[in-house]
Amino acid sequence: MLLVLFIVVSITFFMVHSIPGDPLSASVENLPEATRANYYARYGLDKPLIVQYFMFWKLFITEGSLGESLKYPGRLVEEFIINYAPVSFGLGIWGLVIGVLLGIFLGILAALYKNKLPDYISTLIALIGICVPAFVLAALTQYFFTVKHNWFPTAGWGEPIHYVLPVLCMCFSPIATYCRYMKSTTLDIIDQDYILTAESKGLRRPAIIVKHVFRNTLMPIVTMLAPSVAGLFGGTFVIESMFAIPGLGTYFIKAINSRDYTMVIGMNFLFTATYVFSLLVVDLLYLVIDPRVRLEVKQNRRSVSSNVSEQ
Amino acid sequence: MKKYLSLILALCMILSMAACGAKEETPAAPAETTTTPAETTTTPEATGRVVNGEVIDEVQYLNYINSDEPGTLDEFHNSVAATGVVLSNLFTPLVRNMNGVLVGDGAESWETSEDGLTWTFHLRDNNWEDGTPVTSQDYLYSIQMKFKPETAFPYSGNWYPIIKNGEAVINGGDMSLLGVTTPDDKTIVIETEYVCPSLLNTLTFYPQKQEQYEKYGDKYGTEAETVLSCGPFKLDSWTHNSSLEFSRNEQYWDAENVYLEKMTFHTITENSTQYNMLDNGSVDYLSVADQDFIERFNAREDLVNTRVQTARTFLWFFNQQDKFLANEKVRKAITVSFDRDATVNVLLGGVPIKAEGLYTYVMMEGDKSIREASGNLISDMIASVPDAKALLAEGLAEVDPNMTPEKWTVKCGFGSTGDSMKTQAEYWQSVLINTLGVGSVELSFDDYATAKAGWDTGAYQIACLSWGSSADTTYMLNLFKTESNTIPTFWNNAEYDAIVTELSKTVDPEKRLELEVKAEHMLIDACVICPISYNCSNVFEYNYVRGVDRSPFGSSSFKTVYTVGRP
Repeated sequence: MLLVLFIVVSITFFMVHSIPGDPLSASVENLPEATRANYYARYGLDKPLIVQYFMFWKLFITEGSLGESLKYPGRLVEEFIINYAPVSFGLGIWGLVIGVLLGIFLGILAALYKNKLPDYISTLIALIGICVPAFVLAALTQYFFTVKHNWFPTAGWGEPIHYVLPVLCMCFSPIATYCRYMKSTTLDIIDQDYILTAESKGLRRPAIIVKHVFRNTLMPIVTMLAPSVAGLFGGTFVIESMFAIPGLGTYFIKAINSRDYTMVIGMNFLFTATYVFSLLVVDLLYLVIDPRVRLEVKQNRRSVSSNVSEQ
Repeated sequence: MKKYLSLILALCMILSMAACGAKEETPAAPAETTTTPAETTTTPEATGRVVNGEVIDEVQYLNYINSDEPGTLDEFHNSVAATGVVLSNLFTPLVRNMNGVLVGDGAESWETSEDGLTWTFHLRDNNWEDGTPVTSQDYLYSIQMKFKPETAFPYSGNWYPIIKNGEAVINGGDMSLLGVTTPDDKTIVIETEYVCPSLLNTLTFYPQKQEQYEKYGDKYGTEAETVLSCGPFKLDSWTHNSSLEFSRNEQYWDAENVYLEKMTFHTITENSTQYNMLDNGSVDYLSVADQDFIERFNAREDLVNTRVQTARTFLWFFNQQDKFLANEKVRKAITVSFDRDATVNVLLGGVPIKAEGLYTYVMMEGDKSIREASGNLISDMIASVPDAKALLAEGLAEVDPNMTPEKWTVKCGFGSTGDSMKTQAEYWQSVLINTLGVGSVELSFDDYATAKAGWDTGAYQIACLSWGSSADTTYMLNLFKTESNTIPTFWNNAEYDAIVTELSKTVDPEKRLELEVKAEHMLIDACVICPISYNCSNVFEYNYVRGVDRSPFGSSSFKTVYTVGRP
């Protein structure tokens, strides 16, 4: 896990430094050489790249710092992450949770009533969610709910009402993804023998759906959740800039254009860490949800220990 | 069937209600709640106040959109343009340009010496937010900080050529050499390296209290509470990437003539969000660049549109190290082939103004517009070339007898990846191919930093950029001097260099104008640059807003703004 993190951050480091142009030419023109040199020295950009690379890790390991932002002087990258990641993440989680729950619900409904009205409705919703990108949805809802009907504030942050439109826009895509996925897995499972067994046992339909169908569909859903959680930051960027939400999104986008090296690296560090961590959580979740995985783990252990004892 | 439908609906409602209910418990980020200034109560004296013959609103506030997050409010380290409007409301520059007129703010009066090189400013009595007086030391400290090599002031390129001995000091020379002195607490003397009549429109001299700055060091300007203001407004709170809240600074020398009690600057980067906010009245005025929205807002009766010229020139420039582009006929053929009327009116919806030379219409020498004095250089050039295609063929053949326009390939680089840039670029591509018969035209779009890196090394043929001009003609003309590499055309002309040098020593406005016109003629006649258009912005404001300053250069503030009849 740490290795992945290390490799990704290292690649990012060299990639971002290899883009032509530098933070100074991105923002100002016509600088005297001495000032340019001083500016580089202030951020250590005058040293060879490999030295900068070791300085980056040294700073990280000794002080736990990701360095000072180049575009926002005086502010450290980790401060941005600590202050603004919860904003982005909180928003994204709301969108994801609502989206996934609704998606699962609509998906099961669509499978159970295949080729009937509920199926058509949920397929339609899924289709909209897949086809219409978040920014179009954001522009439409913003125009409709804040200009045509002045029901919500156009932009701003701090009160619960500011959450409504962004979350609405954000939950559409997960609704679509999970609804379609849920529908196809449910259809698969309904045809399985153990469902037939359950039915022949005389279990009632809701019980079958909750105990047998739903539990089995959870596995692939959980697998998909990991990238979804990691993608939360990415997905909120556009929405953040549309609704002027002070999350990480706008900082990240601007950081690349203004060659704010430390910021780009810091952000990528965060995304990688989130992704790797969510993969770990998914693996652990498997254990909880699926008895078969638990069984496998136990058997492995037993075979390992028996191998050891044989020697 | 119906049962399930209602079930779905009920579930949706429950879910969304649960979501809303729980939302209120989530800690609302680091943000502070934005209170609408409408809730503030006014002092009884303010009622029925009459300004310019109109009874102004009892409650005075303004909502404004700043299109970027200020980098830092530390002016020595900031490199973000959007910070400017914040600083100009928080601090007192020596002199402000208010609607085109220079008015003393920090300075009560000022005078220039005979030779035009020494400026003496007499400060007025003004206080910092904490009640301590603003002295000439504060102005001196601010200027000296900009020239300390270790500050690495990002805009030092604008400063060091103008202030006397600036170049030596910024390269590590003794600070006492710098041409800024303070004979007493209320006087500051600034000496310039060359004659710069537009000094006060070119550089903005803000004061900075040393104690306050050193108290916070690197952290100064990163949060609202680190900043001590002395201008018309003070900063109450700064929610990063969301909003800045200001209130009137009662310590300001002219506080009784500052009408607004509260101001909110919303940080909104997304254009469509900005337009929506203007549309529903969340902001009081906005500069609109999008043609469709300009039409839409023009149709509204409660919005007033003012076209404001910004001092920005959109131009092409040629790499004269290139074999073919070193030929003047080739450059001239390209320069005259672009139809500026079509570009401005059709492509850009009549928003900008077509360019006639380097100087925009807002650049003045004394009370004369330099543009008008210099004439319509581009139009005249176009009229003088009847057949651009033949001229191109002639030029190419001069360099290489086997070269014809059909065989010629040219690369054009653009320092922007925006849609509007691409539309224009494709139009020009078609002009080069159809009108001039150029064989092939390659377009490349990069963000500014990448493009600039390529230009600096000479790895380009034709490039395109939008240049924000300064009020100082010497600064503008210096860009094309032999030693300058800012716009790397690799054009060398001793006569031009001599004219610019002479200009920098001339005080007499008549003589200056003559030199400025001459230098521009040389630049355009030699086709060093190919100006296309001058930027313009359409500023829409609600009809209850009064007194917004629209000076094209620098330091406008909201000091003079008030509202009459806000609904």
